[in-house]
Amino acid sequence: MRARWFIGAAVPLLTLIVAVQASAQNTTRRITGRIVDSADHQPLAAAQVILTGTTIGTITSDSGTFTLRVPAGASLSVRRIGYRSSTVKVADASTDVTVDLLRDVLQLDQQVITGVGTQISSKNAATQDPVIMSGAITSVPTPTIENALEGKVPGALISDNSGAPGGGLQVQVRGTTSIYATAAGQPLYVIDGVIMSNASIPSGLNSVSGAAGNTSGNGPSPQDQQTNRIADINPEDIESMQFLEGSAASAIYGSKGAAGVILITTKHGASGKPVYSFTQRLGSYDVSNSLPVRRFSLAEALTDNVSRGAPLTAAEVTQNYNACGGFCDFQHELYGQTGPSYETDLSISGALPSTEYFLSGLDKYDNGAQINTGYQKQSIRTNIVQHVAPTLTASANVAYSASLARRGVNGNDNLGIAGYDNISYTPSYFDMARQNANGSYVINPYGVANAFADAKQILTPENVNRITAGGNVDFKPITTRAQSLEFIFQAGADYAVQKDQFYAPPSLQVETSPLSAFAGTSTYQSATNQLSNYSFSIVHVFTGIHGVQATSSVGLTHDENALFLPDIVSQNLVSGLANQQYGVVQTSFYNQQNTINQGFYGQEQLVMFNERLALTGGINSEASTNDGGVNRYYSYPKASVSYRFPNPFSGVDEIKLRGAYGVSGTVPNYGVKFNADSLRGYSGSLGVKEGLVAGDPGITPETNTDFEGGFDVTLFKGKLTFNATGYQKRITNLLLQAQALPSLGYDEQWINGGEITNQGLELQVAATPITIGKFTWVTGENFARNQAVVNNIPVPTFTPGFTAFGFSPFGGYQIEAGASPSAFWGDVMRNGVPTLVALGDANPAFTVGFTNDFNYGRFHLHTFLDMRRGFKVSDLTEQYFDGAHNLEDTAGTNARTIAESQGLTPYLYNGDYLKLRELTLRYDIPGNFLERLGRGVVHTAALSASGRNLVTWTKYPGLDPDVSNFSNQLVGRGQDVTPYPPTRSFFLSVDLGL
Amino acid sequence: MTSHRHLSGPRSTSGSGSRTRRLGPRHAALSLAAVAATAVAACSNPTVPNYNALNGFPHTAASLQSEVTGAFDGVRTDIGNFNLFTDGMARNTAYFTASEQRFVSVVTGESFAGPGDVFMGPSVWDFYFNAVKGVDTVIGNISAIVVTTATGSGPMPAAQQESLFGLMETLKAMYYMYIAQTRDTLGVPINEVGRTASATPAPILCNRDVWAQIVAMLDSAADSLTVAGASATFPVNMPPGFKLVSTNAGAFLGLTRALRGKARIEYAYSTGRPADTLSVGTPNLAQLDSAVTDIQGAAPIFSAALSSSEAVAANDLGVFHDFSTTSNDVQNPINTNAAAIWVLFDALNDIDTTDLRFTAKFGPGSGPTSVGAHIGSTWHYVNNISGSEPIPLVRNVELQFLLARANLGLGNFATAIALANGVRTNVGGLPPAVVAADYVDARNFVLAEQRVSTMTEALGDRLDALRDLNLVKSRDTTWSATSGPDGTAAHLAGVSKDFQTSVIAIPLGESDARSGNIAPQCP
Repeated sequence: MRARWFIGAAVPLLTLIVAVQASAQNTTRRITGRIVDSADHQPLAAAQVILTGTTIGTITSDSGTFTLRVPAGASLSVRRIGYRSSTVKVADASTDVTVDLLRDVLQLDQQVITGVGTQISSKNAATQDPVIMSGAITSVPTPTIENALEGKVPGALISDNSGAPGGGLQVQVRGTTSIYATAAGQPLYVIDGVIMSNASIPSGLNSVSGAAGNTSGNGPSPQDQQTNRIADINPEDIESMQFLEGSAASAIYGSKGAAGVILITTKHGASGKPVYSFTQRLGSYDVSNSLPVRRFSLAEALTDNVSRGAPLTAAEVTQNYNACGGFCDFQHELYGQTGPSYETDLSISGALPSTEYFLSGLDKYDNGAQINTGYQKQSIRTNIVQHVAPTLTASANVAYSASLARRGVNGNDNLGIAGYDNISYTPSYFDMARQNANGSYVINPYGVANAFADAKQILTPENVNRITAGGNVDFKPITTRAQSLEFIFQAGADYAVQKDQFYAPPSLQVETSPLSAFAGTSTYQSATNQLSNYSFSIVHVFTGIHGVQATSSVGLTHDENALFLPDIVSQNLVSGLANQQYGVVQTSFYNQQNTINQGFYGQEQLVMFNERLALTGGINSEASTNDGGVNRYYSYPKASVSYRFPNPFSGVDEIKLRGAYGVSGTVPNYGVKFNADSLRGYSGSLGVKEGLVAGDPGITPETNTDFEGGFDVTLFKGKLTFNATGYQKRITNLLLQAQALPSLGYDEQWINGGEITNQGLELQVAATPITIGKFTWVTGENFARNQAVVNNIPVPTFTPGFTAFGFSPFGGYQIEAGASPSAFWGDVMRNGVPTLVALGDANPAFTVGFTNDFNYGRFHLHTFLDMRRGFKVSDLTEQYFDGAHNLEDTAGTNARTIAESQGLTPYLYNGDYLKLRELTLRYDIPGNFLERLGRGVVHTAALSASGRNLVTWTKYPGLDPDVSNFSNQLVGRGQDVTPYPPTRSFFLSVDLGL
Repeated sequence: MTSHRHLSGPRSTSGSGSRTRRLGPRHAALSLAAVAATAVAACSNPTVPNYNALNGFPHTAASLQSEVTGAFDGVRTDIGNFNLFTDGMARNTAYFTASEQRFVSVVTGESFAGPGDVFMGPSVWDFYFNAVKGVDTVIGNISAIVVTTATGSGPMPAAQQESLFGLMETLKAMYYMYIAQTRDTLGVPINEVGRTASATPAPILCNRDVWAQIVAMLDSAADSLTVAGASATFPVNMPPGFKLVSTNAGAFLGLTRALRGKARIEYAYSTGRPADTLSVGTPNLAQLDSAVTDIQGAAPIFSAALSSSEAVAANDLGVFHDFSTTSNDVQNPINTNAAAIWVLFDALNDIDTTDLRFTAKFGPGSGPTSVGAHIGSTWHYVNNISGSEPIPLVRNVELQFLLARANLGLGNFATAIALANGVRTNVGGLPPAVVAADYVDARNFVLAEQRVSTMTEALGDRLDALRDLNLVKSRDTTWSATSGPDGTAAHLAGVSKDFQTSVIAIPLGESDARSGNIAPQCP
C-alpha cells in the first residue's frame, strides 16, 4: 500500500469542493446575541455559536455576546464545555437572540475526538469513549495523573505498582491486549494532538539490589521498580482526558492503538479578562497498612535467639529487648515519616485580540513515608493560540518539567536490603535502629544488612528533565455555508533525560558481607528518550444537502521513538567517594532502540436525519521499522453507526443505539526480527556467542479486531443517564516469545500466532437524584467486567519470560489455550500428587466505582470508592516472614510451611478490596467577603480538606493487593515482593481566582 | 452535530456570510498536490539496524578465533548454579541467603522439588545446549573456512582441521556431561541441537545412552586428535586455563581422555547400579577398565605424584574455566556467593577441619542465620576464592578419585583405598587412614576423601557417586538433626520426609513440547 490511494481520495474531494462553490451565496442579515447560564443567568464567554447546518460560526465574548450574519429561517446551535448544547430558531424579524444553556452535570453532551481534526458530539458517538474532566482529576491532590483516575474509567484498569512516591501505575484498557508486545503494555498518550512518551525506563536499581541475579553489579532489569513517564505531566494542566477504548475509536492510531488511546487536552486561554488561578496545598503522606510482625516475650526471645544460631549472647538479647520495650517496631520507625508535603499551582489564562494564552507553573513535594524518600517536581507549561488571519490559526504548547524521585530500595532483591525483606528476617527483639557512637548503625547479626543503615545511606536519586512541545497550524481557506476545507499540520517533540545515580557505600554491612562480591556499588545511568511526530491532514465538511453533515478527512502521520540507555556500574569503591571512575571493578551496559512508524488514513463521518443517525468509516495504513518488512503497510479499518430516538416514551428523554467495528494493531518490539548473537570478552579475547533468543525476520504487527455495541438512555429531563456497552476484542497474530525447545540451543524464538479474546461489559449510571433548594446530590457509578481467554497458541503451553517466581509455593503464570492469559497457576494436591491448575486471575472479575458529590450552598463533599473483586495476589512477602518465623500468627506460618514443603501453593490469596480513594470537603468563600478582604483582587476562593486512599477494606493479608513487583507488565502483575508500603495522603488546600 | 477543532477564537469566521477568503480551485489543487508529494516522499521507511547485538555469525577465517572463544565461553556464567545445585544436592554445602530460601530448602531437600519445579528446573540446561550449538556451528564450518597464506588461498591444513575438530568435539562432550550429571536417570535429548524448530522433538535418551553418546563423542575427538598428530598445533588460541593442553593435539588428548575416563565410569554405572547399599553393584566392567586406562593416560593432567599445593585447585594440574573482574568479562560466579556458602553438618561429619584440602577453601565464621540455619555449620567458603579464581573442568586430584572409584567398581578395594590415602596424606597433610579392604569400608573412605578434596569445585563428583552407588536417601539426617528456629522440630508436623533431591527436573519447555512425554527412552 503506497500513497496512491491517498491521492485517489483527495482528487474527488477537490472536485466536490469546486462543485459546491457556486451555491454558497445567499441573502443574510446581522444579528446579535447573548449566551447565559440558565441557572444564574450569568453570561457565558467562549461559547461556540454555529449557524445550524453550516460550518459558519463564532465564539462569544467575555460578556457572553456574539454577532453573526444569518439567513432567513436560520437556527443557531450553541455549545460550551460544561453545558448541554442547544439549538434555537432565530425568528425572521429578530436581530437579538438570548440562549440559556443548561449545566451538563452528568456530562451528557461533550465533544469527543474522532480523528485528526474531527470531532463528534457524545450524543452521536457510536463508541464508548469516557471523558474525564479536570475537576475529576484534581479534586483531590494526586501524585500523578493516573492516581486520580484509578477506578473512574470503566474498562480502564488502573493499578498501583507500590506506594512509592513519584508514581508507577499501570493502565490496562479492556483486558490483556498482548503477552509480549511492550507497546501494548500501556495505552498511547496523545496530548493536544501530538503523541507523547509514556516510557518506563529501568533505573538500574538491580545493580544495587541484585534483584535479577544473586549479587550486585548487574545491569538494568524489569525489577527496577521503574515509573512510567506520564508522571511528568502536571494534572492541573489538563482540561480533559478522553479514553478511546475500542479499536473502532483507536483505529485512527493504527498500530499504536490496540491498547487504547488516551487523548489529553490541556487548558487553553479563553476570551475575556486574564484569569489568575492560584492553589496552595499542604499535607502529608503516611502508610496505610502494616504487617502483623511477631512479638516475643523475653523468654521466647532468648529461646528464639538460640534457635537462630545464637548470634547474640543472652545478655545482649535482654539489653536489646529492653531497649525497645519488648518490641522494636521496625515498620513504624522505617516507614513512619510524616513530614510535610506541599503543592503550589499557579496559572494565567486569557486572550488578546488575536492571541489566546495559558501559562502555568507547578512546584510540589511529596514526602515519602520511608526514611530518605520523596518526590519533588517542578513544571511549567505555555499554550499559545495565535489567530494569524481569519483563515489561519497557529498554536503552540511547550512544557518543561524537572523531577527528583528518591524511592529507596524496595521490591525484590537478593541481598536482603529492601526494607521489608530486611524486616522479614530480623526478629523484633533486636534494636536495629540503634546507632553507635560514631553514628554508624549496629550490625544486624540476624542477617546481612541493617534496614536503617540501608535506608539512610543507600542513595537512589532519579532526576528527570523533560521538555515537550507541540504545534498546530490550521489553515482554513474555504468556509461557506455549504462547506469548509481545512488543512491541519501538527507536530510534536518529546525529549526526556532520566538520570539515575545510585550509591551503596562500601561501609554498609551488606556491602562488606559475603553477598557482595565487591564492597560498594555506584551506578550512573543517563537514559534519553526522544520522540517526535507529525501529521498532515485535510478536513472537508460538507453541509450542502439539508440535514446532512459530511466530514471527510485524509492525512499522513509519521513518528519516531528513540531510546538510549547507557549505564555504568562501578564496584569496589573507595570509602566516601561515589565517583564511578574510581571503582576498581567497572562494568558498562548499553541499550539503544529506534522505531519509525508512518501511515496514511482516510475517514468519512456522516451525521444525518436531524442529527439522529451518525455513520463513520475509515481506514488507516501503517508501516513500522519494527516490522519484518519495513515498507509493508498494514491496514486498520473501522466503521460505526449510532441512532438516536428522542423522547421514545414518557419520561425517557432519549435512547441511543450504537454499534462499532474497528481494527487496530501493535507493532512488534524493537529488535525481535533479528537473531541477537552476543559478544563477550574472555581473558582478553572477544567471543561471539549464538543468541538464546531466535528472531523472526518476517515478524508482523499484532491485530486487534473489536466489535462493540450498546445503548445510552437519558431519563427524567437529563437527571438520570444510563449506558451499557458490550464488546469483544480479539487479538490475533500475537507476538510470542515462544519457548523453543531449549535443547535446540536457544531458549526462545519470536513468532507470530495465536489468539486472545477479551469479552466485556461496561455499565455507567449517573444521576442527580436530589435537588432540593441549595442541596444537590450527584452520583455516578461504573461497572466493568472483562474476561480474557487464550483461544489458541501455535506452540505448547509456556511460561512467559521471567514473570513469576514459581508455581509452588507462590503461583505463577503460563499461557495455555483455553485459559486466561493472566491466570495464576499453582499446585494443589490431587490424588496425593501436587497438580498444576489455574487458581485464579491477576485481573479482577469486575470493578465498580462509586462517585458521590453532595453540594449544599457553598459546601461540597466529594467521595469516590473503588471496588475490585475476583482477583489473586501472590504474597511472597509473607513467605519471607514465614521463612524466618517472624509473623505473629506462628500457627499460620507452620501451616503454610507444611503446604510449601508438600509442593503446594499456600501464598496465593484473594485480593478483593474496596478502597476509599477520594474524600474532599470544600467550602467556597462568599464573594462579598472576598470583596471586602481582597479589595476586588480575589474573585473566587475555596478552602478544602481532602484525602486519598484513606481506607482499604480487604481480607488480603499482605500490605496492599494493588502491587506489581515487575512494574508495568502485560502479564505478571500481582506479585507482592517486599514492596514500598501503601500510603495515604491528607491535604488542606486553598484555591484562589484572581 | 459535527464541528472542527480550532474553530474557537474571538473573531467571527463568518465574514460576509459566505466565505472569508476564496482560494481558487487552482490554489487548492496545488496545496493538495504538495501534500501528495510529501506523502509519496515520506512513505519509505529506512532500515533500522540492531544496535544491541550481532545479527549472525560471519564464519570466516578472521572470525574463527572469536567464534571459538565464544564456544569456550559457553557456560561460564551458569557454572555457579551447577556448583550450588550439585554440591547442595550432595549435601556438601548450601548457599544461605535470606532473600531466597529455596537455595537451601529445595536444593538440600527440605521441600519437595517435583517435575514441575521451576526454581532449579531451567538451570544447567539452556546455556549448555546453547554452548553445544555454538560448538556445532564451528564444527559445521571447519571445512569451509578459507585461509590465505603466502602460497595462496585454500582450506585449512588437514592436521589443523582435525585438531580443531578434536578440540571442539571435546568441548561439546564436556557441555553434555554437565547436563547429564544434573539429570542422571531423567535423561537428556542428545543431538537435539541443530534440528529445526518445527521438527518433532527428539526423544529424551535414557541415562545409559546419554553416557554412551558422550563417550562416543570423546572417542571421535580422540580419533581426530590422533589423526592430526601429537605435534599438530591448533589454528586458534585457547583461554589461559587450557594452557596445560593447548600446546598441540597430543597435549589436548590428555583432556579428552580425562573426560572420557569420567564419562566411562558414569556409562559403566548407568548400565547397572547396586541393588542395595551394602552390596557391590553390577557396573559395566569393560567400561571401568577403559576408564582406568584413560585416566592413567591423561597426561599432562594426570600425575601419580601429589603435593600439598594441590589442595588449592588452581595450583593443580588441570584445565580450568577462567574468570576475571575486567570489564566485559565474567567474574567467578561461585565467588559472588562464596562466603554465604556454608558447609553442612552432613559433610562436616566426614571432615577433619585441619585438613589442608578443607582449610584451602573454608574458614570459620558465625554460621548462617537464614532459613535452614540449623543444618549449616560455622565454616564457610572464604579462602582462595575471588572474582578471578579459576574453576576446574578437570584436575589431577579429581582424577585420583575417579581412578579410585573405577577400581572400587572393579573390586580392587586396596587400590582404591591407596589412591584415596595418597591424596589424604600428600595433599591433605593428614596421616594415612587404616581402612579395611572391603567394599563398604573402601567405598565410604573413598567418598569421604573425595568429598573434602573437590567440594564446591563445580565437578559434581560426589553427587555422581551417591547416585551410582545407590546411596541417595540412605541417610535421613540433614533435616531432622536439630530444632527449627521457632522452637518446633525442624520437620514440622505433617512433614515426615527428608526429600533428598538428587536430580534437577527436565525443564518445563522440554516437557510441554513433548506433551509431557519425557520418560527417557533406550532405543
